[in-house]
Amino acid sequence: MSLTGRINRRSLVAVGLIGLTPIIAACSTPSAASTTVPSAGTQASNVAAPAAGASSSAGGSTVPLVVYSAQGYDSAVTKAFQAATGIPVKLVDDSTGPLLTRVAAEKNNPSWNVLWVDGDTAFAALDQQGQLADYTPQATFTAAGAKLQPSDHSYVSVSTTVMPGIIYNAARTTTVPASWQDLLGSAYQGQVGMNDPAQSGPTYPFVAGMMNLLGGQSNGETAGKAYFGKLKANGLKVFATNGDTLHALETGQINYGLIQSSAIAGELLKVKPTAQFKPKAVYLPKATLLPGVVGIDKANSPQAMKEAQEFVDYVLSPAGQKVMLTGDAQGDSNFWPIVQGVQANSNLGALPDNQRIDPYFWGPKEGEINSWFDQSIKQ
Amino acid sequence: MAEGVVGRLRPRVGSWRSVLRHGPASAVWALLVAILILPIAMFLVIAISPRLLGQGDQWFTLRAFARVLSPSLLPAAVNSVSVALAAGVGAVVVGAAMAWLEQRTDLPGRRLWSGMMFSLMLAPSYLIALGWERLLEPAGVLDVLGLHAAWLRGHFYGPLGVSVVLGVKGLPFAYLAIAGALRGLGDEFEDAARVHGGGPVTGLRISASLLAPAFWSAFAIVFAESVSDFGVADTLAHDAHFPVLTYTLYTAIDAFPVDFPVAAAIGWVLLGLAGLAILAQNLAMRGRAYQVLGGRTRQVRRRHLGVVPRLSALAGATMVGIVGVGIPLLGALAASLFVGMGTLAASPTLTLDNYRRVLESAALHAPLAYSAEMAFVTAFLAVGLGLVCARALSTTGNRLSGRILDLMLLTAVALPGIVFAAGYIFTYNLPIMNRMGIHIYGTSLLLLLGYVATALPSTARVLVGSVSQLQSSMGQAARVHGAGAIRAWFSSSLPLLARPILNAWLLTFSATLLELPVSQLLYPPGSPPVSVGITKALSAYDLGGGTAMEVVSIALVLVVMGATWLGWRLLAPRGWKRIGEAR
Amino acid sequence: MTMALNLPRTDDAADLRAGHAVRVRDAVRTYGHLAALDRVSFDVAPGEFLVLLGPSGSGKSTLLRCLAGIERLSSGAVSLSGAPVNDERTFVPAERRDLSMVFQDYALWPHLTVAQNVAFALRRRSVARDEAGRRVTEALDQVGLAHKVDRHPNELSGGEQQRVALARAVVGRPRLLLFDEPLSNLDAHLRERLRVQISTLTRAHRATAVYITHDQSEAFALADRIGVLDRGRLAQLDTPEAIYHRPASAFVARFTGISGSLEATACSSASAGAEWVSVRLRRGELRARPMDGIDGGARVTLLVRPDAALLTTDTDPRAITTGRVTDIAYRGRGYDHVVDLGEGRLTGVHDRQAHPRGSSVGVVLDPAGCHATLDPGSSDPLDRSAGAESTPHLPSPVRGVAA
Repeated sequence: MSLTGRINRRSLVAVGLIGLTPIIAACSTPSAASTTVPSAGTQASNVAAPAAGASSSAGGSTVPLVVYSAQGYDSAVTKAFQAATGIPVKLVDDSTGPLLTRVAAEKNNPSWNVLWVDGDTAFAALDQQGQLADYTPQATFTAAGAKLQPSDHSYVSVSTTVMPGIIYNAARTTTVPASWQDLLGSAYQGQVGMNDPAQSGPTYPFVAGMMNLLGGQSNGETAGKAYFGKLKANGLKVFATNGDTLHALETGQINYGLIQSSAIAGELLKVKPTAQFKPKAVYLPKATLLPGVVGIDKANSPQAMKEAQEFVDYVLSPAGQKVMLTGDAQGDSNFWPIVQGVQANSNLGALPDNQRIDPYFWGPKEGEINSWFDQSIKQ
Repeated sequence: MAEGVVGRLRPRVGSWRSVLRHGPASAVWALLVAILILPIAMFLVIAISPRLLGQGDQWFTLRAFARVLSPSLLPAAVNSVSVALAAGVGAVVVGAAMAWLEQRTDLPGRRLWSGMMFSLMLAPSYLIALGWERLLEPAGVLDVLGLHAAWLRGHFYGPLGVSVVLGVKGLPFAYLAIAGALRGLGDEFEDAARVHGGGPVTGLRISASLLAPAFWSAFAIVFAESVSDFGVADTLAHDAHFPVLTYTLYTAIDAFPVDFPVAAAIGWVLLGLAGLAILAQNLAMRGRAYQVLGGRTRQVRRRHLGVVPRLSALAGATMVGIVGVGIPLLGALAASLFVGMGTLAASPTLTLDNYRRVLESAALHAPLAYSAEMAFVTAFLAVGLGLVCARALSTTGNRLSGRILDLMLLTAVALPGIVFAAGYIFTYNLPIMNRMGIHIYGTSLLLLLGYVATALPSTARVLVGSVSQLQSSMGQAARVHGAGAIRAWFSSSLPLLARPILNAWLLTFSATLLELPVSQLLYPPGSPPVSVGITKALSAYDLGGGTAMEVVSIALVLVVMGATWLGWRLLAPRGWKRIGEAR
Repeated sequence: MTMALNLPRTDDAADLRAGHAVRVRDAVRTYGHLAALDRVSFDVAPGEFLVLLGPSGSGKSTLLRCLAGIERLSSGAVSLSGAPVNDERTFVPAERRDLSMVFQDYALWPHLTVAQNVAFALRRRSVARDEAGRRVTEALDQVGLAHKVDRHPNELSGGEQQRVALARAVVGRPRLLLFDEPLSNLDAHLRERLRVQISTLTRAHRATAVYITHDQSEAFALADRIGVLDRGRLAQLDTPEAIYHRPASAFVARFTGISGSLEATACSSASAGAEWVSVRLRRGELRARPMDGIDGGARVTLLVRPDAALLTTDTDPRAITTGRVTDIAYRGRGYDHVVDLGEGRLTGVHDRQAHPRGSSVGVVLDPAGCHATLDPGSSDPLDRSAGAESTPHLPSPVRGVAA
């Protein structure tokens, strides 16, 4: 009967298609996996050409350098590094939080060679756990830069931002604070916003920095807690991250936002002032330095170690600094260089009056201070 | 041709027999151990023995539990349970109503409503939360429209809002599990109740109790998904100062140095909550299951809705649409299409800049292709494995192995993805694994396994309703009439399960494409999945770009869905489409 | 609805193969601690129609599923036409046993049309498409459904669905046909007519058949031989006549239809296989068939076949006992009575003439239909047998076989 024949054949085709797809799919997976071997998709195209003219000091055969980074310009920098040295880079590019979680979970058997994120407290902790290889780069640092290097050279600070800057809406207020005490006055009541240190990586250094500023290491915690308590009493609003605080400013929920300097600079670049919204920046003495830091894994193979050190030197070189300053124009590129002879982007002013906090002292207090903040300030 | 078939038999030898009998089952269990049990166990053991995996100094300690079981945790636990209960009940009620309206009534636009259920899955919790915030915030959309949102804001920023968002997230799972079961349920049972003197309510009650396995299954999954949810805990719940368990977990692993033991201790608590859901389900069902899907089920009638029921049903469905799809869409549009919407900067201007930027950026293409490929393969593996698990759950539901499987799958749901992924790193990055020659950490293979493990519980749950309804005589009839085991399955079971399988495939595909926590911790260096790119853009204050990437990814899912739907319409045999279709 | 039965044409009959010779030896199937089959052995000759009769839980379904290859024996052996299909070393799956099966719930695939359902069973034979189409039409024609080839199962009535299942079972001309209570979901009218179709079609195809049922009327009507199963054991395997006239045990007698049981006293001794034993009722002595070894003076239970009791007046000297009519039912050819006797109650006692409720009657008993046992059983003859299932139709097999 032709009817049955036809239907059977058709259902066979359908079954066949369904059956075949996983096979096709399975065949395509290895290719997906294989793209990871030389480099990621977008970077793959850059591998071949520069490798020929590369002046790699590696001598022997190179191994792919695994870089964990949260910097906005990391993709540009690793590409340029690969082009300059012929060393292939595999980048894991993510936000600081997940990256550090990944690093912590890998503690037994790290698969990163280089870690590059903002803030030195995490590196101090990694150093104390014996996970970092010491390295003293060849670059000459500025005074601020030298201040940011650890005495044991367990990690390398390569750039800096400050935390916090104050961004305010000049269209809605003409009052500009000159000191931290000013923010406690009635003129600022209910108009100040900041980030939540538990959700925003750069905000803990701000909280710790205020403590350090107000009472040093001995008395700072008490003095700082008192200060934030008064800020709260004056109507402080806490938002999740830089972006959320900025949004609150844009929507008129606040008129002053205490956020990271690079976020302020990015916003000033993006926004065209209107009659309603005229963002301006001000820095109070003293803002806390928040360095961009590179650390090298202690468990690296000798070859990877050499490449990692080469990477640090490249990042501090004029070529590397140039890529950093242009790789993420409206974001992370808005930092102050700390290598002598390199200028910040012109939209940034001079590095504000600042302090450095000791990450080995303040780092271990992060969990405790964050939960104090969560319970006492945020509510 | 007419020679006795028996004469051509190839007898199977004894030693082979046990392998063939138990081989496939053992292989499945081995795979489940590798992708679910081992990573979860490795993560949980850290709570009591941090030293084992280099996360502390002690071989055995209860410090993490002492910290977690402090009085401050209790309200968080109560909050977690109550919003999860509310979300679970809400999702089951709304999901059942939507499934019934779509399948059993002549409600206009049925296809639209069922399509809407799928689109609910596409909105990550971030987008839902963002939508609500754009709507309700001071100077937000409602305020701009001159409607005072303060009252709603006060109510929504709290347990109500958290429950609603979690319920909306769980709704597709509930809908699919119930729709699959409803499709197999003829209305003769309801008719039987009516002719025996029961009113419409009794009829409904009979149908409801026949669907009870699907209801409980749906509830358990939404409950577990809700207690483990991270996205809402991190945004809406956090902003509303409404502490939930996962947020405590988040603070433990977000600060550096990361405190995995405390996270693991909270994992144990979440595990206990999932166990409670299973217990409730088992107590309620006592192992009952109803096999009603077979040759004797008649096609059902569609009920004609009168004007008032029709209007109220439409209003209800529209409400679900607004809450579930409209508001996240508003968030996405506000963020990606308009510059300065709701802000003081300027009057909102429509722009495609974000999309132009994203579509032209090479940084999107490779991750999107990579994620699509991974999601594609994951969907096949998860559906295949999900069918095996669903079958095991429906036939061995009373047996110990069935209970263990059920608990295992729900456990995987109840643990937030990020700790699950950390468990993967602990397990597959152990130096001993390398010494054994297993080098899969940092490869696409491990990410794939992680995706499959993440998707498996919900995929299996969505399938279990339909699989448990499949009469075993369907396959047996094929066997005695000459089909081998594989052909018997393809010719007699697949057609009856084709639609639920297709739904489960789409569900898994779309959920995997934008999966975040596992992607973040397991992606192979150099091959970022698209979700990592999106969150990176968002965290770098590029709200427009990140959201545009999200919208582009969702558009891809919609294209795949459309293609699948078209393929089904054109390619599926007529008989396959008849299953569960109402007249 | 036509029920015309069109048997295979003669030219086809030529290539019909002989049915399987089925051999089952010491078949055991356990589920946990429960033995569903307990050392069952029997043979079925090629072309023979064997009915396995037993109450639910007697193991008949398990046995059938083991024959089909859907389940495995825990121990023991099954061979088909001399080839082992299930023993300690071998298990041949269902699809390679050259058999087919009709399921209790029909098991038609809802996504396939009637024709496709039937054609499925031809796929294992490399039948050319035209030939396959012809055979499908023929098989459906045989069950009177040639006009419904393009319907889907859920557009058919229950009886039609089971006829499609029957066509599917025979179309491939398998050497063994298995029937799993195929009529139990149908009403009495359809049941009778479909039974005839099963009987004639199976025999026309010369296939061996194994048919399970809990309904002894079906068993007697269909079987060449009947095997009675009791709690996993084969209680008796014989021709319907032998089962009816010489039941091997009280269980077999009760399950194959009795009118009632009467209390009596043995007047002589007899061994279990003896021809007769003498028993005393209220009004006199009577010969009966002994099913157990019986000592003189023992209290025995007399199991009375429905056709062995005859109503007469209470003064008739032939009457061995007397009693009172408690119910009466008109059956067309006469009346069935329920009679309360001092020794017990008889139901379905037939007479051409009506005896009104409350009247006193005498009962004459035919010794050939009275079986003496030491097993008192329960007062209700169906309690242990089919009581849990639908009640078998008591009188019908009696007329079918003995009348």
